[in-house]
Amino acid sequence: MSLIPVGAGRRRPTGQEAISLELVSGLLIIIGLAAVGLLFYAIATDDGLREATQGPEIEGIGVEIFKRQPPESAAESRFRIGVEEESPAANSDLQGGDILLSVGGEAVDPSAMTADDVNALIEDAYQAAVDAGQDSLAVTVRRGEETITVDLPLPDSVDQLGLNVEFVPAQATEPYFEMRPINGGPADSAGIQAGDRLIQVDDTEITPDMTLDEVRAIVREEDVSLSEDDFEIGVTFLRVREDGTLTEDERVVPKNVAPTATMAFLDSFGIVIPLIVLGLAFMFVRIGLRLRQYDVVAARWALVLLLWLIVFLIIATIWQFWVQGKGGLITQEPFDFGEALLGAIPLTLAIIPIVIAYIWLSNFMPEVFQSDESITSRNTRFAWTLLVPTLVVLALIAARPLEQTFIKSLTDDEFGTNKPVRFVGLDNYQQLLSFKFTTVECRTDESGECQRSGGEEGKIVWERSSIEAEEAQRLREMSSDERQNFTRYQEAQTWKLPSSDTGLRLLGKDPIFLKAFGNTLQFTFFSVILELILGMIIALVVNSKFAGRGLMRTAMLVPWAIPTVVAAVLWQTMMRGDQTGIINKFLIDIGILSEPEQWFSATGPWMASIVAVDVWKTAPFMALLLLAGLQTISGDIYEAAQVDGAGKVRQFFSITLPLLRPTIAVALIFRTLDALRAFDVFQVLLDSTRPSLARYNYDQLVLSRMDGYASAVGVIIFVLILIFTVIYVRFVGIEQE
Amino acid sequence: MNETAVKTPSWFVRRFFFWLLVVLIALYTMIPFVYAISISFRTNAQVLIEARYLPEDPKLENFQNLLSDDQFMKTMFNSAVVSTASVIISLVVGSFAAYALGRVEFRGRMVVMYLVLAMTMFPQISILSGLFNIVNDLDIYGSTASLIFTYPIFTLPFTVWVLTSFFQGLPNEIEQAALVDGASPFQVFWRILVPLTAPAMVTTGLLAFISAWNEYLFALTFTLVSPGSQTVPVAIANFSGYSFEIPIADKIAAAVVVTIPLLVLVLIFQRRIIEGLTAGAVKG
Repeated sequence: MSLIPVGAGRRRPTGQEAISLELVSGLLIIIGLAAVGLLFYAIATDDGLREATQGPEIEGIGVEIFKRQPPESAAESRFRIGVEEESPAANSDLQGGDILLSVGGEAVDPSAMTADDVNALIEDAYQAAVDAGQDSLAVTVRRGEETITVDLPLPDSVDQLGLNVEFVPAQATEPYFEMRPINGGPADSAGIQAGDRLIQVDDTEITPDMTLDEVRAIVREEDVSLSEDDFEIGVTFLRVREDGTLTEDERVVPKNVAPTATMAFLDSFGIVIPLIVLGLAFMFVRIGLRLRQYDVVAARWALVLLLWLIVFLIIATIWQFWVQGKGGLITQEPFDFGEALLGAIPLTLAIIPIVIAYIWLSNFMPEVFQSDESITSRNTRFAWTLLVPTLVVLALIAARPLEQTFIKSLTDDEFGTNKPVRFVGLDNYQQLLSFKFTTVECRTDESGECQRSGGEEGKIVWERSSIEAEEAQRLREMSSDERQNFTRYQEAQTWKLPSSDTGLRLLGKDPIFLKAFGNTLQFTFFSVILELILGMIIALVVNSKFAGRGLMRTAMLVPWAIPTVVAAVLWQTMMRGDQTGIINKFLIDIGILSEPEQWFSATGPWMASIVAVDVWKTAPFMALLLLAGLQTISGDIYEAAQVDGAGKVRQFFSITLPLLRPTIAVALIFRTLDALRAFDVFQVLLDSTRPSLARYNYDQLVLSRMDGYASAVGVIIFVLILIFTVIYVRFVGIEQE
Repeated sequence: MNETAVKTPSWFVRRFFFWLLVVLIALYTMIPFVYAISISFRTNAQVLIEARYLPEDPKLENFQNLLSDDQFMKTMFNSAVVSTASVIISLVVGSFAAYALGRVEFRGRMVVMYLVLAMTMFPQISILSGLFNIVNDLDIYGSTASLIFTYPIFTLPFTVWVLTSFFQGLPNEIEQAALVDGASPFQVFWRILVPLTAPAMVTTGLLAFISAWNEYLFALTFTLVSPGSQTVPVAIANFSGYSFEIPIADKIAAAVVVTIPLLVLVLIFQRRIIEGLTAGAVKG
């Protein structure tokens, strides 16, 4: 008993070592618990989640509403006077804003007279006073409750009197609802000002007999549920001008609505990251506990975990130092070392105990721990240690975005709106994938022939199909609300059925997507087949011995090395649709074409053209792959075949092709997957009405900013490629040593 | 096959067709780029009048415009920075993983292999919207950092895959000898295998560099709004020229300018590139 150590290692741990072991084990457990704690802290303080549970910071459209009672005096119309400077009027007791009652004894009647009438009256009174030889003109005004009469000395002409008159119409004495926008809220940004009087919300009129609470409820739209797709309010209001008149105006104000808690959580955290954090935390705690049993495997895993933790903390420290110092990732501000240090110090402090733990553990572990471990266990740990950085990078830039894409595809998220993200189930997919086939008749002319637009070779003019007509009819009968939520089937493509005047029409709720789907499959099929044939010919030629073979291989690398975008731009210029395109010029020069061909126009052979561009770019690459395969086939087989009298063609089909099959399969699949995600050629050479799937995804995301919808397209591409990949892995398999 | 056979007329016919084919293939692969060089010596106005095989009056004006255009030169610089950074990240991170996958027998190896293989075929477009969100959250939208951050998604799995096959190709005896001599696995990796695979690293790095240099989708999505961080493909696709004319000749000149560094790289390293390109595919 005396000599058997605690951990069955070479010696018993000293007291000091036992204490440091406890500390290291404690540190691991604390790190594990801290990770869980941090995760929960992040969840508790997340902006999106806080908004979801406690409502948005500025709720609704962000206006406060008050009920106001206008003063009684505003009930009557009146004439308001203005006085000019340095005039008899200004030198008298009169003030601008006084209400004119009478001039020279003649009363003014606001209910019957206009401002012009009053001016004429003043002129008459002036004339009468001058005629009567008086030296002043009596003017009576009301100011507040008080009535004032002044005698204005008569100037040389009536214009020099300095008295202006303005008509002020009677105002409603009914109460009104005044709005006051909250600073920075949606109403404020939409241009609603304090003092604007609310008269209508969407279709609901606001009447004076409503109570304040009723009006507030209408503005909050309490009766409208989240699912009713209403994130804007049309506000109609009266604005008081400087001169006291009211003008009607309206604004559409976006509404702040909180997302649901689930949506907010998935948006900010997702599933992958919390799972990784929890998994790692569990690992830390478990290893911390097992360490106390002097388990060497746990100790070695602990060293690995500590080592990578140190590495990541150092990277995080450098990152913090840099980002804090610059005040953000992309700013032009000068580097601030104070801020940088402040950002980096907490992390640096966190590194120290971990480094100490690492040193302690690696010092005494080999002596005091039992050292039995299988080679497999060692290898496994070593391998995973090396895989950590790759897995971290892939989790961050592939797993998390992929998960985001999947989640978003089930929502109606849009960029740049304050619409809350809503879960819509498979609606996006339903919209994308709904299609129907139907037959249509062609529109006939007098002779009973099918009409063609633009001459003999033009497209056949088709009638509308019964489905389209039916839906158009339904659409007419709908209310505007229903119409908004209704997507009808539209034509994606019509094919003429052979030897009849009927056409087969593909209808879809998103016809462009269906076209994109068809374009992509068509493009993939033709480009891959042509590349294979052309690549095979090139490979066979280059595989035979001739002078300049090395040069040929170099030449074959040129199209591969040219960026796809550059290749597309190059061919765009070469295939310009008039005499300025070299391809047209060449084909006309050698007599194949008589007129320039519009290669990329919607009515031209655009699919063939982009396939040609893609084939040029990738066939040589295909040839290189096949060439490498050809070179592994030994020449002896061919010699034997020749002795047996097999011709070259026979040799190719009986020897080359079967032996080359694995290489062909790999090359084919790689190219197929590449072609299925083609973006560059479609984006550069064609317009957005003839997209590939990838182009359509990009357009929806970046141009239409329909994040949720674009994500659904992305998922469809992903699934499509996944199917091909699975077939590939089944078919060819990964090489096993 | 039959070098010593009598040269019958049919031999000459066959020989003629063979060389015709060789010439046709060479023309097919080379002509577009040669023609691009020819266009880049013409002016926009000349190009818009008629197509010509050779420039009527060769001028260097397009190239002079490009070389004095700081904005355009900046895109070359951006491309170089982004490609180099993502290749370095991929090589450092990927060589560890490749060593583990290529040299070590461990539980879960096949799972990781499948994962990496799936990643090399991963359609980047399908996570575009997810990445867009993350790039926005990190506040790096519109910067070259967004590209350095996202490019490893295709350079890293590729690097791991190709390097794994190189590591597998090395003889086992080397590291066994070292292990017997008492070296740790890490020492074996760092002191012996890394130097041995240096040429493979160069090849893989080059291929990854070229794919990063040529990448268009992410560059277009993340730098559309900030011309200061655009890379070469985006700059070429959105090239607006130096005059009011439709940019054709100068656009092609720009295309030629950005392709030449790549072609030089390819010509220098052609042997390695062909090896690297075909290694993954032939072995499966």
